[in-house]
Amino acid sequence: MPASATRFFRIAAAFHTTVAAALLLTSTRSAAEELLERVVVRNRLYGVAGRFEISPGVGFSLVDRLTKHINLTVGLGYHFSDSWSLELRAGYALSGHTALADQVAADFLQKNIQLVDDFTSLWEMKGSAVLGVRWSPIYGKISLLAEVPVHFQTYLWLGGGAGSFHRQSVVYCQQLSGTRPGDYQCGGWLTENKIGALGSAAIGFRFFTHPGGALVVELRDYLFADSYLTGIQKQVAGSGGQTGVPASSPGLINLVLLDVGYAFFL
Amino acid sequence: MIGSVIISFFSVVANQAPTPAQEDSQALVSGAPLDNPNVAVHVVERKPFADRGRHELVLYPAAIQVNGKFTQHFGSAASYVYHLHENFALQLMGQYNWHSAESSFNQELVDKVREEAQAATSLLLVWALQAGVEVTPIYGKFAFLEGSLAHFSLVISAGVGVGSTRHQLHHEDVSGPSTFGDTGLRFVGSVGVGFRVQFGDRFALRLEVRDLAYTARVDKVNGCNSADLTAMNSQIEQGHPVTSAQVSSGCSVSSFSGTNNGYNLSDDVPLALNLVSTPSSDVLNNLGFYAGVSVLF
Repeated sequence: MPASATRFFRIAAAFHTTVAAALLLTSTRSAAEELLERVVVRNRLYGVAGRFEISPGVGFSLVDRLTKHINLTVGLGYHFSDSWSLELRAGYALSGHTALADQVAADFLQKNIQLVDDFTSLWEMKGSAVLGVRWSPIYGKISLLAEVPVHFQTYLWLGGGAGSFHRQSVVYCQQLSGTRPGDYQCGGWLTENKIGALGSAAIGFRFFTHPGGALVVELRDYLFADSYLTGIQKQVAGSGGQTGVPASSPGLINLVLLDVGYAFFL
Repeated sequence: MIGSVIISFFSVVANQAPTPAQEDSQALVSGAPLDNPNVAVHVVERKPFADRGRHELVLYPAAIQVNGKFTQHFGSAASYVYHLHENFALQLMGQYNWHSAESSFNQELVDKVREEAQAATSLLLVWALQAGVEVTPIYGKFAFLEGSLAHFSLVISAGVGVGSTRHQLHHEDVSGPSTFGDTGLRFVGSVGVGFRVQFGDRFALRLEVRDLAYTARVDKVNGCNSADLTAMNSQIEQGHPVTSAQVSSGCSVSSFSGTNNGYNLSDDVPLALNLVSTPSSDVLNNLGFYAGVSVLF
């Protein structure tokens, strides 16, 4: 073999060895970095397994059509593991009619509409107590403005319970005065109260501030049965008589709230 | 200011005296304090997938209005994003609402108490085109069920553009289907916030909430102003075809002639006249949830 060929093969062999070593080093470093990343991202600074939790919060209804709600709640929970917990959440809502509902009632009163169906979704949730399961499959970390590491959990919540509800009609006037449309006044609208079943589901985030607590932001839906009267005769109702029949399939009411609160881990 | 307060809050609570467990966590494993959860700060900041200089095509199959009081929109959207820097991108976005109609609540108001939202308040958005920017100030990672690791960014976007609007004239009933009148192009602006969860080097899932604001003033329907509609209404009342009315240029008389599934479209003329004869204006906020997937290249 000529000397030049031998020299070529030596250089090629050296090159291959260098490339292989570089690839091995890169691969090893990459694998090590991946291992490091996986371990540290999964490490939980704030474990909640085996701990109780008290979480006060306030919720604001997102789509106010005829009713509006501000729901004050407190939850008592126990974390069976870092991912699963059971929570009892009770609340009381400051609720009422929206300006639109008041306007609809005032306008209806003056119109010459003698037969009317009442509105759907007019029930206001007052008291509530729901027992549910929280599943927190996601634990993550972010850098807040590149300065502070913030640990968080994302969770789903599902449960049910009971609630007390209040309803004031916007078309069933029980004390109608005046003689003609444009001149009517109402001394009292039909109001109803009931206690019924309540379902609830939520998706939310907990941003840990320290081992003993976390800021909570969640989107929560309360689901309960609707009911209303149809075929209401304005004059009969206005003179204090009984009129109207319950709607045959009134459906359900979804009350969607944006909740913010703080969870104390005990 | 708010950012500083938030940082201070988290800093104060994070910088507490170390517990024995925390001291143990300082021990090195394979040269790194792997048992210390907060060592993750450096790892969290380092991004395995650089965005700078890359293009991103996003398809949002679902763009659903979530604050529908008088209107309801369901649509799809697509956007092109060019990542000028790691945390800053330019964006072009198009959206088409394949369902835009007055809400069932508005219909309930009409049916039960003969009331409905003002014309401007119930203006519907058919499509929108916007150009804007997108910033990703927060980057993080999370573990799902202690298994899969995912990278995500908090996405904040803003844009401006134009949108095509329409107004519902006739509600579907036994006399015929719903009909709509074109109310022209309007200025559109939007702000949004959401998450982009990246899967590998090329694919990402986007979950965003966008507030699409558009100016609403109804003074023309199908290009016809109050005088045009009054002229057409007079012809109808006299028993003449609506097309015999003398109208201004730009007024689409043909939109009010003929039938649609048995519904006489000239019946829309008094409805349209009612809309423009009581002018109303509003700025509408269409808050929507956008779920999409994207490809980076």
